[in-house]
Amino acid sequence: MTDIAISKLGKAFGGNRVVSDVTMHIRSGEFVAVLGPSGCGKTTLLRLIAGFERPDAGSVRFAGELASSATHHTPPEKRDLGIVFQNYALWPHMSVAENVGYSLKVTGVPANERERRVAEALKTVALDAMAERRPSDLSGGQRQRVALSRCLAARNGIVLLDEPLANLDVHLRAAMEHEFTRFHQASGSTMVYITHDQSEAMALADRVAVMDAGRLVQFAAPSTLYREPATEMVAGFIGEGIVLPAEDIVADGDGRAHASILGSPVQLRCAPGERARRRAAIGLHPQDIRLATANERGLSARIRRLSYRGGSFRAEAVSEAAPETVLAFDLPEQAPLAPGAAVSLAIGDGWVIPALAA
Amino acid sequence: MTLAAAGFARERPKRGLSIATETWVLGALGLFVIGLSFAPLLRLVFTAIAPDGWPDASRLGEVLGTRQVLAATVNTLRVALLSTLVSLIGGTLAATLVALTDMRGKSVWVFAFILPLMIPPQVSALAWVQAFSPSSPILGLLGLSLPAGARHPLYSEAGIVLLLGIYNSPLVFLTVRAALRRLPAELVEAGQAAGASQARLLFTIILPLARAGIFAGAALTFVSAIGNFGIQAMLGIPARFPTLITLIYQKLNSFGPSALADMAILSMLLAVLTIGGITLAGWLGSRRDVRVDGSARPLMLRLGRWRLPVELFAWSVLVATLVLPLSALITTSLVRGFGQELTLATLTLQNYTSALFRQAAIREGFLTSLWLTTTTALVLTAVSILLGYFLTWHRSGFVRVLHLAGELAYALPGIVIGVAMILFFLKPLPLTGFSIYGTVWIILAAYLASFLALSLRSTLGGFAQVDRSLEEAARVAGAGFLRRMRDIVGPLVAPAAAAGAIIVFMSALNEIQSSILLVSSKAKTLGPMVVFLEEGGSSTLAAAVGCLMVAAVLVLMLTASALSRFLPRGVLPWQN
Ligand SMILES: Nc1ncnc2c1ncn2[C@@H]1O[C@H](COP(=O)(O)OP(=O)(O)OP(=O)(O)O)[C@@H](O)[C@H]1O
Ligand SMILES: [Mg+2]
Repeated sequence: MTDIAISKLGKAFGGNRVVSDVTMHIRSGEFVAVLGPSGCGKTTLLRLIAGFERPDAGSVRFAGELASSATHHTPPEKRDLGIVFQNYALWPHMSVAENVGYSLKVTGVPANERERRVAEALKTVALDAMAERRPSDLSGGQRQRVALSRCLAARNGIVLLDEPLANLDVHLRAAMEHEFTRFHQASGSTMVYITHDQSEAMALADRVAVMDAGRLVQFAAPSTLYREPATEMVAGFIGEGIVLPAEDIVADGDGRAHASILGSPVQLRCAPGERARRRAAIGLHPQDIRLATANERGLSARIRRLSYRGGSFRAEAVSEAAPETVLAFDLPEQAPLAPGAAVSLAIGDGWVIPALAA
Repeated sequence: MTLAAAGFARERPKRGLSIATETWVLGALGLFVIGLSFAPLLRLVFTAIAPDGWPDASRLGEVLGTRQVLAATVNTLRVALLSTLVSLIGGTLAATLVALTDMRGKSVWVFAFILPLMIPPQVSALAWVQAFSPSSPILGLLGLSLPAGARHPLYSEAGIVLLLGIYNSPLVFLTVRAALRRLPAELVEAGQAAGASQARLLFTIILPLARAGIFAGAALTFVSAIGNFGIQAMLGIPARFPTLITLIYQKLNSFGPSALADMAILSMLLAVLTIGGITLAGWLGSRRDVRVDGSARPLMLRLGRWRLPVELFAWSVLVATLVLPLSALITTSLVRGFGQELTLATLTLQNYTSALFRQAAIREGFLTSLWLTTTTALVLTAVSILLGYFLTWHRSGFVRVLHLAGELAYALPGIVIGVAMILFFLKPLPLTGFSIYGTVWIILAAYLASFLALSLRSTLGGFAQVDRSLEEAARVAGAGFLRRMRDIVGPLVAPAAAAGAIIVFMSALNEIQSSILLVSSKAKTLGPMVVFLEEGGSSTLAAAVGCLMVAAVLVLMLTASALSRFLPRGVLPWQN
């Protein structure tokens, strides 16, 4: 089976460092999503893994075997991997079956075996009735499924996907997400899935790698990213995250801490090794903020905006102490509040973002 | 179910020290382009500035200072400049009509307007000469014949200027039309809203905005006029009006290879003028007016009650410049002797049967040209697809140099390539002791050098429409370089490459300049045949050969047009 070991990988175009010092180990059969804002180097990382770009530094190994380093380069055609491209990359002059069977033809799989595997792969994505069609006669979702079955038929140990849903409409996306999960279960391939849509990443992946400006910021399970962001960037990026300044952080041991946010005391979670600090950034989510009850000492703020979300309102409040920080939270539909109203807010939970390793 | 549990069918490749296929393909391309385009031109420059092996400017000064050369240079510049003026007026007018007005029947008109550019210039010169000769069948028909014995009116500087001007008008037309199409409609609509009349709009807003395109077209036309051998030779030699290009031809014709060193100098002068013009055109073409951006919606000026008169005028221009000379050519090709009136009694197909079957020399010219052009088109199509791949997806300094060398060889007048080829291939090839000079192979070499850029341009247009990921998908499927080229890239760029092949075929079939220097008793081609026959007094036979060439061009143009559904826009210049 095929695991991917990426070590200290670096790539620059001209003087522009696009990927720097990325180290990650993707386990065999794992589904990993790479998430990050536009232009952060996700596609470049994928192209480095695929072998379309050569790294300036570091290495990529598949199943322990060196594929890329500054001095060694196995060309993409010899890497035994499959790619699902954003624009599907189906060859317009070949039928669906020919598209799916091409890599088998290239590697010299005998015709009857090839036909069997193509049929099997098309069946898995429920396209067996369209084997003789041209790609141009298919819908977007069907094309993407052909691209998937191309990897199925080739039995690629590694499948890379670069924003495969970006060209599809919202309804189709949900259906295709399911398709990817099925594909992963059927093939057992190691999958690297590039996206800038975090809900897609969180829904699909075993682990998510968050990139920012060419660096790997955090590589962890979706719930860890959500609950224990490693940096302010991750905290702000994941799950409509809010980053607030806190003061007088005191670790109580056992992963708990208390501190004061904008003057009101709060209970927080923190890393086991966390020590007392004067200041820290706290990551939390709208779900962690609610209106304070009458006998709680809340944080006073003023509602700036209300937007209807179906069943509830999303409220945006600002406190006078920190006018640049938006406190977003959900209000039940019946709540009789209007923009401009003064409120007292309670913070139920939060994560002390670890201090930057020096 | 776990398919993967079955294990992975594809074996892990063994790593070897073998050089990647890409690398040796690129090496072979380099050898091809440098050996055929770059090295001969370098040899030409070397001969011009260092005739005896070391740099020596004295001979350069001596040759360039002679009265004959000075006169030829002045003549060249005069006809080029004056004819550019003619083309500029004709081409801009035509482009304005086609791009901006609601004239009807545009596509047919454009096809007919561009057609002369596709006909070999020596054939159109012959057609014009026959149309305006004192015993012209056409003028006779119109009751307009010139006094017998008078000097032919086209055998003059004015004749050369007129024909060059008409011949090159389509070049201006193409660049100006492209510039006008880029004009944003908002600018014109703003003018209309300000209450400007249509004529005012045209002269105060539209044409000034398109001026970069107009000037770029003018520079191209200038270059093309300098290098047009067919017209300058057919009219200039009988008129004793020497230009640089005819001077080189005549000297080499009368003195043979002993005149080579001096002719290298003249060729270099011609090359310098050409490169100057091209650079100017490139600079002007790239100088977009910053204000010209916005949506390029097609503009439409209404001709209103002027529409019919304008259309009549446009078509009568075509009748005068295309139909009249061509019908003279056809008439001449159908009678026994030049000047004979065409009646049912005099009508004969004898010239055609002579050209195709009886005259061994002409027949061989046809056959030689046919295999030369076919070979050229096929080889260049393959080279263009490979080179296009590297230019589009693996650009490096090296492939850019190859591209530039190809473009340079195409831009230079064929006669310069001809001289360079003789200089480079006169000595026997190393290792073989065999000289290709005087054989058909040197002509092939000249064609391959001259027309690479033509085939490449069209193929690159095809590559631009292919998404890179299609090729990358084939790579990850495990297909090696040559396999990808055959299965994926080749089929995807095939229509554009085929259009390029047709354009190359057409140009090589019509080629006269390098051919006329390189032909020998052993190797004759079609292009110069018309000149030789006309010089030898066989006007009717020359007309028949010319008509056959025009017919071939028409067939090729229509074939390419039939492909146009599959082509990127702009690959076929004659399409509206
Ligand atoms: N071939 C290249 N040459 C030069 N710069 C490049 C090249 N490829 C990418 N870049 C630059 O590298 C940076 C990262 O690009 P990349 O495509 O990896 O980003 P991305 O994270 O995939 O973004 P997106 O989400 O928009 O697809 C960008 O600034 C881009 O301009
Ligand atoms: Mg990307």
